[in-house]
Amino acid sequence: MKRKAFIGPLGDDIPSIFPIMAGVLLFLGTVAYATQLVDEKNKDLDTRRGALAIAYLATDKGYSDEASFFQKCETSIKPTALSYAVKFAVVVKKFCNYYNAGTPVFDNVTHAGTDDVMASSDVKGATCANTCIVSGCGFDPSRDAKNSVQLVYPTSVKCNGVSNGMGTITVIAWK
Amino acid sequence: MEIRLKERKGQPALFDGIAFLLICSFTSSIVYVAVSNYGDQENQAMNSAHALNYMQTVMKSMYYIDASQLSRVNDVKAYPPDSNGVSHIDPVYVDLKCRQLSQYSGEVSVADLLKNDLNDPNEVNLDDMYGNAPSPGLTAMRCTMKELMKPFVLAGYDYMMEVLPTNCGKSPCDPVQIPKNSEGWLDKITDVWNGTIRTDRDVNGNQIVGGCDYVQENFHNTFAVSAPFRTINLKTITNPGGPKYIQTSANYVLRICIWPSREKRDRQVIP
Repeated sequence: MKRKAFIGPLGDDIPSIFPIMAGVLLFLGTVAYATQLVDEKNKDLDTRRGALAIAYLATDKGYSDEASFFQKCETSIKPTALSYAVKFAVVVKKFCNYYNAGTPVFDNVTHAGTDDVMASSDVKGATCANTCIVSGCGFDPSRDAKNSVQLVYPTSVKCNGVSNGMGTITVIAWK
Repeated sequence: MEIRLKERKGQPALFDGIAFLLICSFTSSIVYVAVSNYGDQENQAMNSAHALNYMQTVMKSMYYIDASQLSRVNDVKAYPPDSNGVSHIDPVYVDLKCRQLSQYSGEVSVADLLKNDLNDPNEVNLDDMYGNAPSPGLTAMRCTMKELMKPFVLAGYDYMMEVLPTNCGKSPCDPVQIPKNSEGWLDKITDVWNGTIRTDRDVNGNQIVGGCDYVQENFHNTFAVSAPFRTINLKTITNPGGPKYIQTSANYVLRICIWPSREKRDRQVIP
């Protein structure tokens, strides 16, 4: 006996729908994922550009005193952050005779260890920010902000009102 | 054959569908590869900008940091062993003898000590002396760099700092010499002490290979920052009509270079 076609001219194309649909879904899914990934990378790059621009302004001199720091904060740092559309915080920390990179940015004391003879208080110096931080809203951007960028630079600060010691300028930026 | 074709009418369409799926898969893989590399170059450029800005900030800070504030850097007495007898002093740096800087209280900066050291009337070199008087410019620079370059050292980089004259009659000039001490190896401003960086004369004995020049020729991903450094010396000349003062100046270039370390060092560094 002759074997006829299974369904018909149109029905014979039904099995091909599955790989075609799979291909279309795969392609559209890839495009959607790639777009999301590019957007995330762009957002991260924008934040880093903003942090770098703020850092250039904050570190224009090798010495940080409170009066000029706050003036710089209002006249140049805040407008720059606004132009890059980033939230930011710039913290000057005074270590004086050593440099402790492990100290949390918004803490006022160093946490180098209980046996460390160099532990000291009054480490946190001036802060410049365009949003509430720490005591203002209980939010520590160095730990809690997603995709925050943190840059640390050395500087010189007044210690004990007499001599100039080592300090750090920490720039944190986030969206 | 004709009978077989009639029996298999759905196969060409199915084959087209599978071919379409393969093309979509290939296109998707190309998109994934392209997206994975997106932003890498700009990311690298920004990393470089941050590193260069950091080194420039180190050079600016030198002019303000008082030497006496560095007296406790890498001090064995300041970092006694813990209750288990484990010493947390950085073994790579050993003892930089920073505590001698405590005698320079007041507003004597690291740059001031360095200028005095370079202005040595006897010979221009970094020997912690100004004539017969101590002027620990080299020691102050070592202690400063040890602290301020800590983030890069902890990240796996090595660094070197050198002072280059500008009036030697050739370009580039050889770096200012640092006499070796009795231990024979603390003759560079760097965290690399095992002789990886050559600063000796070449086979002709005429040219000294600069530390940062050697680094840029032999290592990858190096960064170097240079800054002008001027010293002014007031000399007294005995004159029949009375003492006469002559002011002379010498121009130098301070250069810092960093590169990814090739060494695996077992160190316990206090953060």
